[in-house]
Amino acid sequence: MTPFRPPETRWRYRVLERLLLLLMPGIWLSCQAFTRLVSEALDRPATRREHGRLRLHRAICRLCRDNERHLQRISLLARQPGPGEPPPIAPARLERMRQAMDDATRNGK
Amino acid sequence: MAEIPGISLADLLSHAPALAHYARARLHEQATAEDLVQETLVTAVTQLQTFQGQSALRTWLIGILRHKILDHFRWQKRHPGDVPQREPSDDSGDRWFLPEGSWRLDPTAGLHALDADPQQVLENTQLRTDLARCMDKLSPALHRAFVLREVEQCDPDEICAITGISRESLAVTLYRARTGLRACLQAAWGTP
Repeated sequence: MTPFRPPETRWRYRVLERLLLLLMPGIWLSCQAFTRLVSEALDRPATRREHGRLRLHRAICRLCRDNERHLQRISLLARQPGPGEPPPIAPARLERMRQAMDDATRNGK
Repeated sequence: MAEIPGISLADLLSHAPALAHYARARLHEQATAEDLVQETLVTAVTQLQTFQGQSALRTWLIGILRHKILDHFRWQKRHPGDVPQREPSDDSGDRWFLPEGSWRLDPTAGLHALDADPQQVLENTQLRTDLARCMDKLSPALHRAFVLREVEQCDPDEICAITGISRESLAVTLYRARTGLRACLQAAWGTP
């Protein structure tokens, strides 16, 4: 992997992070904590406090903002069934299914 | 062969490809998916008198199949030894972060296809294919949790009951699955 070039605003992010850590120690989230919370918020409603923490971090960190959207899109994609025709089943396998159904009807309920 | 008014074996069998497609979206293995489809069709044949006809035949069959898939997941919980491998112990999500919790690697590189608006994303068949391929690469535990939560859209408490894990470890499992899929898509699109 090529070394990750920090985003152009990284120094600003750093300064802001330090500042917010100082001013609002309970409210500032690290990028890692933010990402974990983003995942959890897909499974349960976030509390008001969590909403606030998410909003604050989102406002400052472009990477996390984009990453959150990507994770949400992946979730969206998994939830919606895809269009198009289902692939066919091998004829031999289909024949075995028919056999099993035949046996089941013959043997009664 | 017993007489089944209105619905023939061939009618039922004609739904097999769609059922297999449905099952394959939820299971790692094509063979397992086809086995469960066969079980579904056999159940359908023996219980056809319970099919009232209020719903479409396909819907009724999918209902049976869904039960079988969830039963399969429950069975895996009771027989952990039969699941190929356990969770890898290394926390693969963490190589993305510096010790203090900011990004070490760019989590967004190469994912422009996911920046499109939701409707475009949903219509992107290449993206869908790549995501399906990446889901297959998840470990069984991550795959199961992700499928139950996102594909089946089960309630988290229900998933905990089926898989036998706590809410905390479900949260960690889903976090790993989601970030793992994102990383896999990045790798697939040439950003290792």
